[in-house]
Amino acid sequence: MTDVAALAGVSKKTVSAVVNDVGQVSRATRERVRSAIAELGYSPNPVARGLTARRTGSVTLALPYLGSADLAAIASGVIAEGERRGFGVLCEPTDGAANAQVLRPMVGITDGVLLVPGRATTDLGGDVPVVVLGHRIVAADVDQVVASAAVAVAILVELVGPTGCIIIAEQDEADLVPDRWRSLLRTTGDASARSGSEAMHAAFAAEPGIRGVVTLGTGLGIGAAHAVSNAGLGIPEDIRLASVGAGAEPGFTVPGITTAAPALDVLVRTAMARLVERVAGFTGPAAIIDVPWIVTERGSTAR
Amino acid sequence: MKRSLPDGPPTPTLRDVAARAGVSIRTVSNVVTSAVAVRPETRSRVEAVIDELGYRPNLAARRLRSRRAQVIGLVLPDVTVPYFREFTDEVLTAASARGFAVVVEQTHGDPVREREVLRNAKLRHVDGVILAALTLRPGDLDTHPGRPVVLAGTEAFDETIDAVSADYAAAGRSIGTLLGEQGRRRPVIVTARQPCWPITESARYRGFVDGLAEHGVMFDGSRIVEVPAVTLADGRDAAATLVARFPDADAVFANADALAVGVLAGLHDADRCVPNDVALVGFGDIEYAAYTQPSLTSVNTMRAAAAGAAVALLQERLAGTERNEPRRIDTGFLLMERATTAPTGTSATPVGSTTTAATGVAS
Repeated sequence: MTDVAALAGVSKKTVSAVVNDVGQVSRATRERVRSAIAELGYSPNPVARGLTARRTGSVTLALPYLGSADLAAIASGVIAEGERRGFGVLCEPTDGAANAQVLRPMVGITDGVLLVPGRATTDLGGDVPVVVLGHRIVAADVDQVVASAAVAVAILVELVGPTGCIIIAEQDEADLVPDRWRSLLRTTGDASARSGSEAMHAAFAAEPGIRGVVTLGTGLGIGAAHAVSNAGLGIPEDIRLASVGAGAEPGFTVPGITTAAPALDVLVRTAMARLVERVAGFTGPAAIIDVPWIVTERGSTAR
Repeated sequence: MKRSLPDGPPTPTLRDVAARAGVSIRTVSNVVTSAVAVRPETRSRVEAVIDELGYRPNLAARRLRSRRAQVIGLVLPDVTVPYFREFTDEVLTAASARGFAVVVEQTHGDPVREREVLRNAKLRHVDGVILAALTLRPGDLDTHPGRPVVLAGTEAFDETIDAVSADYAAAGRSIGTLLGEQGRRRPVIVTARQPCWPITESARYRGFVDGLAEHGVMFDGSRIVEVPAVTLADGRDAAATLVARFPDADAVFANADALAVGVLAGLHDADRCVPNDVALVGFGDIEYAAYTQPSLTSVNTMRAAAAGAAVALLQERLAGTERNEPRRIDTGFLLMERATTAPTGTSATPVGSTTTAATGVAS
């Protein structure tokens, strides 16, 4: 403001009066101040205005990481939806850790957060609106747009056949496996194809009677398929296989892998729409919105 | 003027530029950041003085004063392409370790979006940009003062811009050599159509052709199957096309692993045995490459190292500690030989093993 005053040759008080449109200021002086403002590009209190207007034009997508096909499918859907709506999408990898430290510094940078929570997610902070999306519901009073992993696992275990079936999931998603099938669970360190392959090798070594595999994540499924083939066994003749998750890769293995994928369009568009409403000031009660699964049967579960 | 070192050249400051141009410090700042509009005559006057004095903005100090987290813009064609998805993951990891947030912006290979990336409204708040460009040729990028750009993840190169890449000509050559050594005489290339930069003008293609030539195979430039995009489905379609157009093909070089995986499925549909009838090589070495049936030979262009180097370079530029000339960092490459190029006459799938021939240069 000092610069504007200096350029216009008036006091700061006069500048303030012009900006706020109060007080007795002559037309000539008003003009001089306005043109000084234009020249210097001065805007009163832009940060505060940013907060109240909440118009940074960006949203944050906070997710554990991006490398798995399943998370990448959600991320690219969010980025595409952001493009459609003219928002920037800031990607914040959380490693699944407790999210408060990620979410708190968002004020002034983004308008709101779409959060794919990890197992350890607890405190969601409160400075900007948050909408949860993905496969996990958290105990927090926010909108959640979720395709429940437990539902998908149950569908695929029935489809593969529970007898002689194992479930492979990464440690951080072990809690998503429904209690009924918990005894079938074998956990891995992460969701990579390598981990899926190693888990399958280990399972063969430990249990001769395996007849079916359900993986929580398509990467694990691709690795498991590789291990089955390396063991000289056939899919589906010897081992039936299905995976929960998104991504195109299961359609291109030989045979193709049966999948349960979330209806991604619905997931992403609904979550983004809820976030936009919250950013605009909607204060209705938080809702949990269920997103359906789409099961695509392929050669890996053929009879 | 402030002196940077005893007897060193004077370092022009914001204040010096303002004084010389006859404007306020705030005006110079607004010209540099382009965050707020400035009258055109004033802008030109200030920009002329900036050039004259050789002023370089101290972005780190400005960010510290504003106490805003530093943000990188990652601009790439498409996050759904496995190679770029994995590259994005590496950038996010490297950026997060250094306290940067990342805005991801897709260009879909549009040359205008690539050229004008720094004018993109959605990137106006980012402090620096990592650009994975498909269409950019030297001199194309519209740069303006204040925000560093690093080219990374693709062959795009410009002498005036920092770049992190690999020796793509050598990488292409290693593929041509491998296929030539194995006696493959009738190779076909599968690639996504790129009108702004046809594959025949790329370094990897020249290397590929040279590698083959050394083994007496003169690659016919018409033996190229183009598809609309880098997707698994397009790869599968390409296989159908190449089997129809080039029934004698005994090797395929697919210019991206996602295409290679699709080609593999398509060749299987067409009852062509890989590798016995047709060898297959991809490019990019995505995670999935080692787990296809048979496992896919590909070139690893050191994504993780490239992402880390690009983020580190941006951080140095923002801190103003890097010297002025543009840097070129070569991460090297690895040819990962797997089952899709096993010598003919052997059985199809080696159990779990991966042999690698390391041919790369690390800087």
